[in-house]
Amino acid sequence: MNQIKQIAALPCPERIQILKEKMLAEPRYATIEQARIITRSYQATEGQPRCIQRARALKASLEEITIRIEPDERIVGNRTPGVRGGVVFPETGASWVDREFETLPTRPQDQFQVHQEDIREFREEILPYWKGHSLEDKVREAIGPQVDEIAKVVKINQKDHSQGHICPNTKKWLQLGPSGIRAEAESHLESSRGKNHDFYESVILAMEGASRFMERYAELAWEMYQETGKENLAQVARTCRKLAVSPAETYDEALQATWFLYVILQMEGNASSFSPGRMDQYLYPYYQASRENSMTLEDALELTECLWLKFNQLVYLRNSNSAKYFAGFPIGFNVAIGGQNLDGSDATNELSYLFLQAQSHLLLPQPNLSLRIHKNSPQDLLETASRVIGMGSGMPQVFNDEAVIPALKSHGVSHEDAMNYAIVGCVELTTHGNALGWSDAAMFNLVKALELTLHNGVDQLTGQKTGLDLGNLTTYKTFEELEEAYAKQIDYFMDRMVECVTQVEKMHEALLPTPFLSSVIDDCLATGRDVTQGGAHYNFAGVQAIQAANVADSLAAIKALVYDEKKLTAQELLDALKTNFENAPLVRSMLVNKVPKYGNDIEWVDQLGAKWVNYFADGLKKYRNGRGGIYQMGLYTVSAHVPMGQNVAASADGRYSQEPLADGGVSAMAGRDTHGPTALLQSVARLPFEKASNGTLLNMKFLPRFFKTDTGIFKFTQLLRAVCRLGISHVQFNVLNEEDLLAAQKYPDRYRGLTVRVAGYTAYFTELAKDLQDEIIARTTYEAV
Amino acid sequence: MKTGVIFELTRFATHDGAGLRSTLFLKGCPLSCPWCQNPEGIPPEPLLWHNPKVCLQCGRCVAVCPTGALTLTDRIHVNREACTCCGSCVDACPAAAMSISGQTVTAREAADMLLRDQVFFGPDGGVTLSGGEVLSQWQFAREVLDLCKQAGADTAVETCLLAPQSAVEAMLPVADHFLVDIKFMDPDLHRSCLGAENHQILENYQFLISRGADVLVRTPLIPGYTATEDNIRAIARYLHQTDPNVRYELLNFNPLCRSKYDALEEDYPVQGGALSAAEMDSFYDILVQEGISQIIKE
Repeated sequence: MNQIKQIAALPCPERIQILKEKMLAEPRYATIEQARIITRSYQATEGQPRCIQRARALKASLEEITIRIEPDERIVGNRTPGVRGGVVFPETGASWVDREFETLPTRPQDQFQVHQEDIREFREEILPYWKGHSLEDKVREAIGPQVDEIAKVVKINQKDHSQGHICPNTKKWLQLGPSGIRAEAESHLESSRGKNHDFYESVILAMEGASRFMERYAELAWEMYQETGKENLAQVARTCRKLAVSPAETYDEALQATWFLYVILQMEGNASSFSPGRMDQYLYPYYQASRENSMTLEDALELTECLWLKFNQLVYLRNSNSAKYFAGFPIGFNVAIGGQNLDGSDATNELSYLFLQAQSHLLLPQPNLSLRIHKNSPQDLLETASRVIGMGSGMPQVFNDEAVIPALKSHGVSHEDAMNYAIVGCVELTTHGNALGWSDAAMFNLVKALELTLHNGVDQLTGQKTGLDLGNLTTYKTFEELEEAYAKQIDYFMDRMVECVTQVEKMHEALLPTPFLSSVIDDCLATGRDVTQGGAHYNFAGVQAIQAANVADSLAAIKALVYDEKKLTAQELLDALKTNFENAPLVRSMLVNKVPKYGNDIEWVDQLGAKWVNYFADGLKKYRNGRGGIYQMGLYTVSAHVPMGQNVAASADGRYSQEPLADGGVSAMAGRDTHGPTALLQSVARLPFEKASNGTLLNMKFLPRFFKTDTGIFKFTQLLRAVCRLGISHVQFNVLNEEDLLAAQKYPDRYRGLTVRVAGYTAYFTELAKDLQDEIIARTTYEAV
Repeated sequence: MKTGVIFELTRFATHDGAGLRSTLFLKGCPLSCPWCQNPEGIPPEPLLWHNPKVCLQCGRCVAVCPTGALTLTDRIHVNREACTCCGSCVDACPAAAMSISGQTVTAREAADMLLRDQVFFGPDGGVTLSGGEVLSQWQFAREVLDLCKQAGADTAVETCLLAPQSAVEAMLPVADHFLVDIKFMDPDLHRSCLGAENHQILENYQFLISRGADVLVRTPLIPGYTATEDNIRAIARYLHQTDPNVRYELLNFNPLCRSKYDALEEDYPVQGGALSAAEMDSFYDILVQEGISQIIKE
């Protein structure tokens, strides 16, 4: 493809630079405008079926919310007048907003400015209506104590916001548009009864709102065009007017229609992540049509980048605790490129390269760009992607078809759907347009469960007995006895977790039907059931097992030092753990240094991690979720390794009390993988990826110099191909910057594995003299400029 | 089966030949380059290695040392005369600050270590033997490479070529590539600085060329030693005369190994840091002037 070189040479359009700077300079506010509209609508529709109430609230929002267009925009639409606004959403959570409203501008993570008059109005006009009736309050009323009792081991999610992590059927939306979907719902209306009838009616209302929303943008754009004479605004007006009544036909129409879909999904759901999925595939016919009709590559890139900016304008207002777990406002517009066609041939096309070029220009957090690789991925694609990875935005992240597709198929996904998988949110796996994956049902802290098992079920941070009392390390005569107790502890918490998750799902069904979303998830329209009622073709629930590295390292240390080599007594180790190693630095040093660690290609250690991850995945198979589907395991934490670490006292891997757990999901504990990336990957590959169909996360770190030469890029692609052969589902690469290296100087223990590779030998960064470290830092900074 | 003494395995080696490689370092070297990056690889016998950066100074090693070779003052000091490398201190150290550099393994074990990452090698990666000097254990090296080749791996040898020609010849069937270090052209400088003559090296180089071996010549640019115009010009001229199609790489000086000398309580003689891009360019100009057409850059 000669086009690849042409695309790689395209500069960042001036329009994009202007829009980007303006967007980043604008302050971020929390807003109550939609809350006001929703509340008023609910008051006017009391007594109507919930799905109708919700549809009317959405329709009112679409008709009334303040809209704005930037004079230079070519793709328009937002759910707040300002960019990156935090939307207060009372249907799901009003109480936490009441508690935290004043702290939003100053809280440590994900801050928002607030207008004082909004706080007053919220408390006087909005909160009283929702008090006791929001999802958050209803969940708390029903299962609050149960959730709290298990909270240190299991974090139950989706308690105060709508379920997201969904990849809608964008292709269908593009082909039908709101009017076509409305017609489909109408065709079912007459023959349907009761709840089904309500459902179709709710879809029709939502589509009426959607059309009106587009018309409003057309009107505003036309008004602005008449004032400014800017041709882009006239085009926007034409596009929006057309989309309100008919499907998209060109690339710019398809991009605009796509963006409307995601804005409206967020206006209905305010959920973390609705993901476009394989945009390079379903947008390609529109792209081709426009290219044949004189659209230049430059124009295609500019339009793409206009949408890329839009992906950054919707952020997610979480409560402060949730913001710690999922830091950085992620709303997860995950876009997948590459991958395979149904027949197994490579699916890469020009859009795949255009999307990579857009990412290299913008280097913004959204979209969350994901590259699907497989054993026949073209070298050009891998090289282009490697260059973008080397720019340090952490994207694209890499997903491996060779691991993901078999995992999905072994969890009941058809071959056709598995081949067409997409990614939602951060790293969660999904089929395209026909699943409610409930990917973040809960996070299960296996390290905390081990702590309770070692200490008679007593939480070492609070002194309270929260787990099963099965004995302690001194009473387990063999390592096998310890393992038996650990299994029982996990079973106990898993049972209680499933009870809570089921309850949460029921609440969503009762309170948060989502007609608009359901209209773009197969088979909801066919069966007349909302996604919350199990209307989707696939109904999963995902639980994350956390964290394989700490479990493997802790059990390896106990096995080796206490049971096998007897270098420590059980009591010595327990005492050291209870006192957070205060008087036992040498015990800690032995735990850290005298036992091999996960991440170094030491089979017996890695197998301990794999064993418990397997045990967990198999345990989940016993249960069914609230919509009749199965549970599946994930192995990822995003940023939750930090707060989840805060819940765990000192562990036998030498980790201090409340320190973070290993990051990512399947990564090694920071600084404990000292044998380089290949050894890490060999260790990681021992985990059962075929059972982790909810998604996995591996973080790897590289120095920027690796990406500076063609040879380096080529070698990096070889590493990607090996990841593919090893059957590892996911890996994401962080390019170290000056800050990271300064941190490595300061906290060498966390960066033990950081190496500088030169001809002839490999130097460990933390073992270099300070002036040599300084030189590397200086060069890293210089090269990064 | 042959056994050999090795001191390090580098996995994901990205600078020891094409592609992704695993490199095994063999102990013992007939040269004594003052700038050596792997000083622990020069002596053929094992060596106690102490890493002061992770040492807790708990003194357990001093207490268990049967020969009294260790003392703790401002740091742990090793009396190399007294140390027998028995490994007692390695076991006792809770911080893994003590290790023995030098381990005897069979050729099978060595090959298995190298092949462990075969899944990464891809179309052009493979295994590399380095050192120390590989040819100082050439029988062992030959067996290791033979096993790797049997497993389908690409094989390379990094060598200074100071060895009997028979040793070089023995490597021909098992080594796909030779990465040859030539440091000085001037024989006197070679002798006085590195402790050995270079005529054997040059003869072996010519021998490799005559046998059609795949050779990449490399010269480390060491400030105050090899990095002079005269030296590089002389090497380039000689290489071009011997093989007009020679592939030649200049390795920029890398000061990182100084930390090893600190650990060994030895002075590192090279002052200064890596050469600037401009300095590198002026050396590349010399190569061009001498007719070298295949200049290999990273």
